[in-house]
Amino acid sequence: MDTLSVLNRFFRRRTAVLGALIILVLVMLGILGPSLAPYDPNDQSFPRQLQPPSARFLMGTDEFGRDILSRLIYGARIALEVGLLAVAVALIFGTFLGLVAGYFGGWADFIIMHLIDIMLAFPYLLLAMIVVAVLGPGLRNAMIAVGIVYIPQYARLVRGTVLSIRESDYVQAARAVGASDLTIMFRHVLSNSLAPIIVQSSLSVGWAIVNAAGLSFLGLGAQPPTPEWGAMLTSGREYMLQAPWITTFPGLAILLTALGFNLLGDGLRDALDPRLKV
Amino acid sequence: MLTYVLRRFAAVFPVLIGVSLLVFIGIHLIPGDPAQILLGDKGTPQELEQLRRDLGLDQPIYVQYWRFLRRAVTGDFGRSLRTKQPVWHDIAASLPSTIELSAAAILLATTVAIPAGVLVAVRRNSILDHGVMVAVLIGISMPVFWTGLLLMLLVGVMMPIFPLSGVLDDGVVLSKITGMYLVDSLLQSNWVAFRSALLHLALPTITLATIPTAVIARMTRSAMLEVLGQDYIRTARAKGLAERIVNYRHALKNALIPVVTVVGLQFGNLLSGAVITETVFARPGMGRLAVISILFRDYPVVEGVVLVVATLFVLLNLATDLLYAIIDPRVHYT
Repeated sequence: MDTLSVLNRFFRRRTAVLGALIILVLVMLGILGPSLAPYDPNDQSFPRQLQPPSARFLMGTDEFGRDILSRLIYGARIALEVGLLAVAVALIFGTFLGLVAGYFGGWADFIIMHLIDIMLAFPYLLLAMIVVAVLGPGLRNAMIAVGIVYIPQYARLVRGTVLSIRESDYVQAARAVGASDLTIMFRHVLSNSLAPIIVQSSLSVGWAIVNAAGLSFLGLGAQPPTPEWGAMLTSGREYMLQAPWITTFPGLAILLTALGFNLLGDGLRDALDPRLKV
Repeated sequence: MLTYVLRRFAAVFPVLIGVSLLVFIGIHLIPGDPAQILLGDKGTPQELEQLRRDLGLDQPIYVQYWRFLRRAVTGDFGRSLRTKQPVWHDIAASLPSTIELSAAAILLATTVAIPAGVLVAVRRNSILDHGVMVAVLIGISMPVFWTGLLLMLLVGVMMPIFPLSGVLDDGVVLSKITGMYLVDSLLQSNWVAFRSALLHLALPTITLATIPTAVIARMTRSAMLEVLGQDYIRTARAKGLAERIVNYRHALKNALIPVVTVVGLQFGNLLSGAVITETVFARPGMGRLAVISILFRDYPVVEGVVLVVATLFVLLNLATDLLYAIIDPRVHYT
C-alpha cells in the first residue's frame, strides 16, 4: 500500500475531503471546547430560559436557561469519546476473535462464528439495551454496550480477510522459516488486513455516536445534566413546538457528524483499494 | 430445494437456543435478587426464602435455564413486576403494533427505493442521479429519533392533519381482532377508524422508513449499474428491445438478488428503529415496552420482549434466505 498514492486518491475525492474537514472541526471542538464555549454548559438561569437564538446566545437557551451553543461544544468532546471508546472495544475484541477464528479454523472458528451468529440474531439496539440493562443506564455503560454490539461486524470482517490471506505465499514462507503462529498472525496476517479495518473503523465511529445518542434519547445513556447530544434531544422534546432550536441544533450536530464519518469512510475505502467492498 | 429449506430450518434451532441462553445469562447478570425485587421491603426472611424456592432460584443454574427454556417455549415468562399481568399479556398487546409499523415501513421503503434506484441507474451522472445520491447520503446519516422529531415539527405543525402521537383519535371505537389497527379497521369495515389509524401511522412510518429507503435505493442503483454493463443487456438492446423491457424485465430481475439481501438486512434496522420511533410518537409497541421495562427494572418483561423480538428477527432472516433461494435457483449451501 503506497501511502502517497492512497493520499492522492483520497484528496482527489471532494466528498472525502469534505468528510475529513467535518471530522477535523469536530476534533478541534473536542480539544479546544472549554476555551471556545462562551458559557458554562451547566450554568442554569431561569430568567433566560427558552430564549431564541440571538446575538447573546447564538443558538438560544434551553428549558433551564443553559446556553445551547456551549452545551453543543462540550457535547462534541463527549461524542468523540463515545465514538472512539465504543469502536476501540469493538476493534480490540472483534479483531482478536476474527483473527483467531480465521487463522486457526476448526473448532475455534466453529465456536466463535456461532457466538457471532447468536449476537447477530439480535437487532443491534436491542442487544445494546440488554447490555445497558445489565450494567445500568449511564454514558460509560452506553459506550460499552455500543462497542459490544459492533464486535460481530469486526470479527466477521477480520475473519474474512484473514481467510483470504492465510494461504498466501508470504505467510507460507514465514511458516517455512519457522516463525511462530503469534508472529505470523500479528506481523504478517493482521498487518495486511488493515485496510478494511481502517475503513470499517471510520464508518463505525459515526454509527457509534448515533447509536449512543439513541440510547441517551431513550434515557438509557447519558443522564442529566451531561451535555450529550442525544440527551439534549430528549430533554428538548417537551418544548419542541415552542422552542424548536433546543432539538434542532443537537440533531444537526449528530447528522453532520454521522455524515462526516460516512463520507470519510467512503473516501478511505476508495483510496485504500478501489475494488474493496466493506 | 426441499433439502435446502429443511437445512435452513434446522440451522435456525441452534441459533434460537443460543439466543435463549444469552438472554438467560444476561438477565441473571443483572445485579440484585429477583425475589427481593418482587417482594420489595415488606417480606419477611422466611417469605423471601419461600419465594426463592417457588421461583426455582435455589436450583442449580442449569436447572433454572431448563425451566426457563421450557416455560419460554410455551410463552410463559411469568408476571410483570410493574403491571402484575402475565408478561405474555403485555407482549401480545404490544407486538401487533410493532409488526404493523415495521411492515408499513418496509413496504414504503421498497416501493420508493427500488424504482428510485432503477431510475437514477439508467440516468447515471445526471442531475437527478446526483440529487438522489445526496439525499441517500443524508438519509443514511439521519438519526431516526431526529427524523421523527423533525417530521413532528415540520409536518405535524404545518399540516395539522397528521397527529403527533398515539394510534387512534379519541372517541374512535375499534374492536381488537389482530391488534393491528389498520387491519382490524379493514376487517370491520370501520372507515372512520381506518382513516384515523392511517393518519396516525403516517409520520412514524415515514420516520422508520427513511434509513432503509436510502440504503435500498443505493444498493438498487449499484446493482443495476453492475447488471446494465453485462453482455446480455447489450444483446437485448442489440435485438431492438424497448428500453423499458431491457431495464425492468432483464436488468432489474437480476439486480434484485443483492437488493433482496439488503432488504432482509434492513429488518434489523427496522426492529431497532421501531424502538425509537414508538418512543418518539408515543405508540404502544415492543420497543416502548422494552424501554419502560428496563427503566423500571421489570426483568420478566425484558426477558420476554428480547426473546420474542430476537426469535422474530431470526425467522425474518430465514424468510429472506428462502426468498433468496426462490429468486436465484443457483443458490447452494454446503
